[in-house]
Amino acid sequence: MIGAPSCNSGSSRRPQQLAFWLLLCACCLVLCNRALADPQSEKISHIKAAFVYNIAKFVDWPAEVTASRSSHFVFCYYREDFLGRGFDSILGKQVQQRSVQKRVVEAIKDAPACDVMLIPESQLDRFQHERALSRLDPALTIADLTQPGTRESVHDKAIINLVRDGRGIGFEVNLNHAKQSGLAISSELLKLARAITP
Amino acid sequence: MKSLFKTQPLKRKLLALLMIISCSVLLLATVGFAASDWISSRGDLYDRMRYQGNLIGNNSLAALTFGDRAAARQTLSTLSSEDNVVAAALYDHAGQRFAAYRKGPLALPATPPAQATGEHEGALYIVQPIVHDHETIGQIMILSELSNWQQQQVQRMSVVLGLFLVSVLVASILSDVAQGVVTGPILNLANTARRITKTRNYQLRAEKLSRDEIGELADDFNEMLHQIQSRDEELRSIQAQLEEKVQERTAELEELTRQLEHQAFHDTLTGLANRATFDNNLMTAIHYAQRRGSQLAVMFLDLDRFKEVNDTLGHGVGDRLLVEMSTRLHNCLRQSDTLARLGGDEFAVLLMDADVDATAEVAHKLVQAIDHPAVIDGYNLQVTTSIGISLYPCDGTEASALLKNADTAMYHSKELGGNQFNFYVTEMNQRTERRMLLESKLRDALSKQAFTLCYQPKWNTQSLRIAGVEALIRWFDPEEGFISPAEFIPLAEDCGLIGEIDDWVARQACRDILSLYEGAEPELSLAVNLSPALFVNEDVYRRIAGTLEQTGFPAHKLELEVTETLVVSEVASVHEQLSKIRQLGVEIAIDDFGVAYSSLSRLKQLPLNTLKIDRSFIQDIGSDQDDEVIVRTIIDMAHNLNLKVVAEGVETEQQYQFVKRHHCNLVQGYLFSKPVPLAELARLLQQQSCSREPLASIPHR
Repeated sequence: MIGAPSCNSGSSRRPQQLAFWLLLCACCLVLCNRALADPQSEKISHIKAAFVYNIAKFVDWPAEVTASRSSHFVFCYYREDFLGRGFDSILGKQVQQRSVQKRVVEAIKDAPACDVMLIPESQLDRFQHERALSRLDPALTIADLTQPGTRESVHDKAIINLVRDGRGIGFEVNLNHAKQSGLAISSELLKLARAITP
Repeated sequence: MKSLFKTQPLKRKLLALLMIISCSVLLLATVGFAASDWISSRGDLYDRMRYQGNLIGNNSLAALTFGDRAAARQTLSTLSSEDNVVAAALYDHAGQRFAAYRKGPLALPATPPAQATGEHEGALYIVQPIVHDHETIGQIMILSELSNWQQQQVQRMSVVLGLFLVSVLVASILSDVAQGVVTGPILNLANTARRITKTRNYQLRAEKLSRDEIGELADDFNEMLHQIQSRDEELRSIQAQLEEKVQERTAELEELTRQLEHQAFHDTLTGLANRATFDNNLMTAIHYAQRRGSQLAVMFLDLDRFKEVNDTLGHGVGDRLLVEMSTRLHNCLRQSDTLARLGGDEFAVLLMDADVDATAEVAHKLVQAIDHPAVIDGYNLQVTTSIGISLYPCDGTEASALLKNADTAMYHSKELGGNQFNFYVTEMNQRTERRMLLESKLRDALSKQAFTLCYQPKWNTQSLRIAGVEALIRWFDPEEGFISPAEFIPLAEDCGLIGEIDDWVARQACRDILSLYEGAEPELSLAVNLSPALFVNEDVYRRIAGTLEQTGFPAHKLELEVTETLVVSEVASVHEQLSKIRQLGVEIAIDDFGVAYSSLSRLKQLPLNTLKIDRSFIQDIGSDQDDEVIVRTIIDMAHNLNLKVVAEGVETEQQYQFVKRHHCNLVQGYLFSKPVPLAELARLLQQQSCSREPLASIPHR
């Protein structure tokens, strides 16, 4: 998978350092929240929400899955709502004639009705780990790799990675994951993707 | 226009109608097709543009969704391969132009037009939304230039126009063929009708070219022709018959006209010129003679004794005798002379340039030509002619005078015994005038019953007593004195008065004789003469019966004396009439027997009682032995036929002794007594009744 620049802090090395890093992360998170709370970060959230929403529109779920789903098109945040108020820009819209709804799930097993699984860069490992242990219903997994530095390592845990594209935002598509999930991604979407992993 | 159309031939009308219909249909079809094609092609263009819009729109979904203008422009640029597209633009969901494509200088609107289709700066455009997942994410506008489409339309219109023209050409050919198919039989019918009208040949027939209504019309037309032909032939037949009849009638009329014309100028019986023609020729000849100073002669001919022939032998024999005589006369004349029959037995001859000698020579020839017997129907008839001649200018210068003078001269010839000709001399007119005077007096005397009767006694030859009397008419005129019966009887016959005279004589004689016996039956027999002319009318029987009835005279005491010429005629009616008279009891005697050559067989057939020997034979007794033989023979013959014999004209003792010696029954003549009036007869009878001696001997003794 072609990585995109990310801004997450990396994994813990030692237990004694774990508390420190957690504290640091909390500080960073606070700082990030503060940062997100500013107009620039809110705009980025809106852009990401629009990206997520639009990408969802170019993906087809298996018919039996769609049939089993409720009337809401559910965007699930894996453990973290990293779009925040940005999601409000797409709230009330519809995807596949289903109104958009968001939910935060703590574990994969809690996400049977999720159409899209939004995974923050910080939860990618956990998500990968948990997924290896449990089965995930067909869902479009989108990883947020838009934070600076996140593209330094390869992340091929989600079907789509949101990445930085210059001053804007782009995305990468992992067709293998999509295929394994039973999802069909529109070629139109693929034409705009920065990188595609077969 | 309407009248112009009406005057056009049917062929042209039908062709025009077919062409109008064909062209109208073709024009409508062409216009319809062109309009449809125009609309269709415009629709196709729009469809194509919509298709292109859809295609580009779908390919621009992601670009529009993610705001990727470069991708959108790249997608739009794919329209460069489309010939018709001159520009295209994508508009986002807010209506702002997102991306554009231009092939030329065409300016694109900043916002999409409100109308989905239309024209923009001379180009057709379509605007349609771009929908993704049931959400309109933008609009696409495609513009297509019209020039190509218009050029294409022009090409198509050219093709359509060409097709239209070809179709019109084909339609005209097919229309011509169609009108030929339709009008051919009709024109054939019309041509046939026209030929029949021109040639009047009803044998022509229309050819049946089809089995449709026109074919049936041809059959009906032919049937009608058949009927017309039949009627025409019938009419021709009738016309031929009529013409034949007309020709026959015309021929008959022409023949009749010719006959009438001929009759107008010719005598029907003899074919000679008639009186009118003669008069005309005479006047012409007079004018001719006046100019040339020449002479001409007019002859008036009359056949002697022809009347007896006609009366006794009938008109048939008389007519044939006239024809024979006219032929003889004609053969004696020159071509330049005119021979005409004036009527009856009268003829006239006109001689041109004839002097006295030449005229006399011709007259002599004519007399000679007539004076020999003619055999008519077995009868040997002997007639002569009396001719009177007048000459121009000495005997008259007028036609009427010449003819009158010739007639006078003819009577003169007749009075001289006939069978001769005489030239007119002035004195002859005196006789004619006397004849006319006598005729007038005769009619007057008859009306006044101025006649008297004398009775010629008939003496019994042996006893010399009066056995009977012959009543003889006497006419005393105060101016003329006694007029001889020999003069007025022929005149009465000519005038047609003889019947009345004979009737009067018979009635008066019967009454006279009856008066002698004062109602007792007369001892004397009474003989009266009967003219042969009375037998022509075949009423003698009624006349005699009437007389007997009126007078009461006993029929067996009445004797009718008829001429020998009447007896000689073998006319059946004479025999019949005589028989009827005999049935009344009246006796019949032949007067003047011996001059007409009667045959024995004829005498034997007829119901006769008495023969009266003609006085000419009696007079020659003692001087002519032949006559004595004749008298003796007649007496013997009569006795052999059980007929009584009377000798007429006994004037001498020798004559009396001769007939007495030969047993003649009765005698009459001046030797015994002249005809005496009734009173004298009464005295004689009184004398006879008082004397036993024969009265006749008294004077001679």
